Formats: sequence, structure tokens, C-alpha cells
Amino acid sequence: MKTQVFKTLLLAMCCTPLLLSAQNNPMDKLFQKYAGKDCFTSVSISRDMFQLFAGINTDEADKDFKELQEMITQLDGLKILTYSQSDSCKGIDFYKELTAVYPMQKYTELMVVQEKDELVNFYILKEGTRIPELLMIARDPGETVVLSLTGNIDLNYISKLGKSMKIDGLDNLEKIEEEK
Amino acid sequence: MTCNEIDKLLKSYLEGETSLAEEKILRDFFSRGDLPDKYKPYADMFRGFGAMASVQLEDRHFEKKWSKKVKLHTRHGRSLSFFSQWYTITGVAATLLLAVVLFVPVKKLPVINLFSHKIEDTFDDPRQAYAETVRALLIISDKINAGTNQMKDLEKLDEGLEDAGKMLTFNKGLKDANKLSKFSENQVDHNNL
Repeated sequence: MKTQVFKTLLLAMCCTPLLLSAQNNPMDKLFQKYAGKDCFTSVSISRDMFQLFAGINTDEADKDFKELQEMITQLDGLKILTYSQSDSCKGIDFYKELTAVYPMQKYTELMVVQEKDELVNFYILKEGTRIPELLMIARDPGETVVLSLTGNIDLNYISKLGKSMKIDGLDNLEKIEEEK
Repeated sequence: MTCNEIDKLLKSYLEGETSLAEEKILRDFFSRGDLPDKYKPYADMFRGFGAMASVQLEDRHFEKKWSKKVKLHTRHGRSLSFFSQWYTITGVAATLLLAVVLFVPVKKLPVINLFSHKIEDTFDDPRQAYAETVRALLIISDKINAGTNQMKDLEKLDEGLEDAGKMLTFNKGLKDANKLSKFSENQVDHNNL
């Protein structure tokens, strides 16, 4: 059955790129390795969940809240992995591991913020004018946090968020909590 | 046999409603020599039928052979349609596959999920997830603002430097003024002389 063999080969060839594209991104690798382990706290929020946010309705038409909702529904995922040093897990140099897994040359360093003994690095991926990923790595002596935000990221909006939303935003959250 | 009856039979014959016996009556009638003129056009037809009935096949197994051949033919036809069915099935399958590949995002294909370990969502409740997202966004925002605020301090320093620059030119002006005053002193001296 020559044609049969031929068909199988053809199918295999068609599928190869699909399998290659299934390669995990660095954050997934870190998650697989560390999520749920001692000293690690992980948070993962998927695109599906972000889409659910669109369904959350507030009674009054709050412009800020609508803006936030819109921004969030454009996100693909949020992953946070926090490593807190304690006696039970000494000897892990999480930052070293982190920088080994991440292809840092692909990222653009956005800024470095140092406050007291905390050092925060911001990195972004750039695709033209679009920012598909924002990576935050925060370190202080006892803790290392890596946060990866993927999707269509509006940096201007995020930086504005802290100034305008701090009060309104949390108010809304409380309302949401009450609605339960 | 009256003409009326023949007319009636002929009419029902032409509509295909006559029985075999009635047809025989018709055939007998038209085989007669002395037909009225109005039946002549039909006479040939019925005589022809009569002649055909008398034809004897030479080969007595003709019908058997023929039906055998027909059967062979249909079997051949069926095997052909079997292949064409196969082609249809593979064609449809290929089209479906193509449609799936083209229109379903790669990440959503079930095949892919087999190969990539899916990371589960931390929260089942969208509200909790929402709160966490906003918290994370606020932290990011806070840190970014901490960075840019320091830049603002730098800007202030810049403004300060600019002011200092102005002071410098002011200084220079003062020096020039000094020179002028010296010049005027000289002039006064000169006048005194």
C-alpha cells in the first residue's frame, strides 16, 4: 500500500509544525518545575478567566471600571511565581534559575527600580509597537517574585492605573465581593 | 364488434389502461383486411406487434446470457462506486482537517494539549481572579510609578541646573558691568586730567 504510506508521511509532515509550536514558554517551564513546591506561591490566571471578567457588571456606569475591564479582557494570561526563602528550601538560587530559563536577550529592559533593599526589574517583549509580554522580576533578600503578564499590554494605562484606580478600583472590588 | 366499442378500447389502449384480453381483441380487429379508413393509421402498428410476437429467438439461452452480462456489469459498476466512495471519504476528511487547521487556533487543538502540560488556573471564582489581577496590576503600576517618580526628581534637578545656568550668565553680565564701571572710572580719571 504505497499510497497509504505516502498519506501517513504527508500527515506527519503537516503535523510537525503544530508540535513544534507546542513548545512551552519559559514561564510555563518555571511553573511546571516549581508550582506547588515548598516555599513557592504561584498564581495563574488564564485568558478564559479574563474573558469572564467582561461579564462582571457594576450597577452604575463607572468609566474607570469599564476602562479597566476593557484592558483586562485584552490580556492573555497572568502568572506570578513567588519564592520566599526559608529554612526548608535553602540552596535554591531562584533568580539564577530564572535568568537561565528566560531568553533575556529577547527582552528589552524597561526600567530598574531600587527601593531600600528591593530591586525591581521590568522587561518587555516588543513586536513593533505592540507589547505582548511584560515581565517583572522583584528581588529582596528574602523573596524573589517573577510576574509575567501576556496579551496586548498598554503600559501607559497600567502606570496610570495606580494613580487613578487606587481608591475607585478597590471600591469596586469590595462591591463585587458583596455581590456574591 | 361495433365501431363504438373499438373506439373505446383504442382510447383506453392509448392511455395504457387495457387488459391483455382487450389488447388481443384490438390486435384481431386490426389484422382484418376490411378496415374503415379512420382505423388505417393504427393498423400498421397493431400488425407490427403481431409480427413481433411471432418472431422466434434462435438462441434459447439468450435471456440468461443477457441477464448474466447485466449482472456482471452492475458488479463492475459497484466496485467502481466503492472506489469513488473511498475518494469522497478521504476528500471530506482532508477538507475537514484543513478547515480545522485553518480556523481553530493552534493552542486550542486537543492534540496540542496532549503535548503541552496545561497549567491550571489558580482561581475558580472569576471575582477572586479579578481581585488578584487588579492587585498585580496595581503592584506593577506602583513600581513603575516609583521609577518614573524618581525620574521626575531628576527632572527637578535638571530644572535646577538650568536655573544655575541662568545664574552663570547673570554672573558673566555682572563681570561685564564691572568692566564697564572700570571704563567709566578711567573716563572720569581722564576727564580729571
